[in-house]
Amino acid sequence: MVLSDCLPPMMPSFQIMGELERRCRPLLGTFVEITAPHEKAIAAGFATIVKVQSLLSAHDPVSELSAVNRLGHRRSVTVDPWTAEVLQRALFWAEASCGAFDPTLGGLMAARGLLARNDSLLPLDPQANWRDVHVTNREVWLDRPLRLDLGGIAKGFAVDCAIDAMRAVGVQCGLVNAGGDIKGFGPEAWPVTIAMPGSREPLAMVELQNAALATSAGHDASGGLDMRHLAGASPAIASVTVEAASAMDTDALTKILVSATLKSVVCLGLAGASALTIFVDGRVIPFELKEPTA
Amino acid sequence: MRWNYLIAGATAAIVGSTSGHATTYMTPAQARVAMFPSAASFIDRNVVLTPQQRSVVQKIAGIPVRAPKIMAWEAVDAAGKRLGWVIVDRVLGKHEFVTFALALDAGGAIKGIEVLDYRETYGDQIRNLKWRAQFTGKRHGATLQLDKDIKNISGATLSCRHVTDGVKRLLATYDAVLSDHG
Repeated sequence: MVLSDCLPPMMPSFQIMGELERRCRPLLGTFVEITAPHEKAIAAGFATIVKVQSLLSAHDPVSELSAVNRLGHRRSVTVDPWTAEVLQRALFWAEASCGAFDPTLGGLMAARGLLARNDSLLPLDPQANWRDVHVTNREVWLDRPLRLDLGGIAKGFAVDCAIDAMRAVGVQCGLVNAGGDIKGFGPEAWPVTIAMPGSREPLAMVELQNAALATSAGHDASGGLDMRHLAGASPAIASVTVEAASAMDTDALTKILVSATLKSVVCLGLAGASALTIFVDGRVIPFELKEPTA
Repeated sequence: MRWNYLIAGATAAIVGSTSGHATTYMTPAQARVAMFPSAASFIDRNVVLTPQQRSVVQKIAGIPVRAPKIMAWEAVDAAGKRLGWVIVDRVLGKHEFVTFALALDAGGAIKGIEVLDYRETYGDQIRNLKWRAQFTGKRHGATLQLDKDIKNISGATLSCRHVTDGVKRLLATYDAVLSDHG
């Protein structure tokens, strides 16, 4: 990483922006914004995000994920290949981070009031973790009653899928921003501002070209920080931004980095990612691997 | 990947700013056409809720009605047949002011939701001043025209719950006022 203390931020290039359409819809629990040269590509992106939401929402009692939560400890449940793909990657990051990221924290999130309690579920096993989840290409089963919540990875996955769908339509460039989980493609870099936790004032700017970026932080009602959705967030960290090729990976990696475990650097290497950490005391620390380890 | 910082020079301007991030996506007229591309025309069906209707809507939706006046249109095809409805409303979240359009089919089922206009309202409540002071003088760079140039933002995820609540309220409004049995 070249820390460009001496360079002015690049002024964004908007030559092609004038010809772009931008739409925004309330999806995935946040505002999803899609930018592309024409409506057909935008529609393809949104349709894909709607499909991912219907498969993976932990809030929707008829999603595939909810079916796994209800039935998975009794028998294996057949799922869509997309559900299997994101679950497999979630388990990969759980193992790599020794549980700093864990897709089985639905019970904890419900206890914190971030997910609806579900009385139709059996009492959850408090010892359950990602190692109790088994996924093949089409089947999922659970060793114990637990509640999967893909809140830390599904948004990124939805962004990846939307970008793929937009490329398939044949457009030159496009950007998807699902509440801070961002991915862009095309011949020119997309300027992205990283907002300060709490106040959302612009803090840093990055140029994103054929890559993904995600930020994890929190806001409470007063504009302060709220980390309840993060299982083991370090009290020293205000926000973490990660850049990598896959939005699914950047989404999961932000959750790993906010917990500041020994595995953080290993995990960044696995994805060839770089990161920007904002500490509560005001320090802003960029991190980039000298040589990708994978 | 290069992390470019903002900057001492712009800090003063940011602190003094009272306008946050704002984006206009579509006008109500553009949204109508996008949501009902086959419509031949849109008939004004603006709603002004009577105090009685207002309390009915409030009761069904479970959330208060902010303004009694609501913009609504009936989409009709060339033969005059009803295709559905477009209703435009605004919601005020904790940190954002959102105008959105809801499209309903002729039977009253949701056909689509589009955000028309999104404004963040952070600028008037500057926090972390102590925090910011640590940056002042440490970073270099050019001033950015915040509202014009910076439109892709990565930060803590903002909830869209206020829009979801607003949709509930409009569905109740449709039921109480616009639908044939209303």
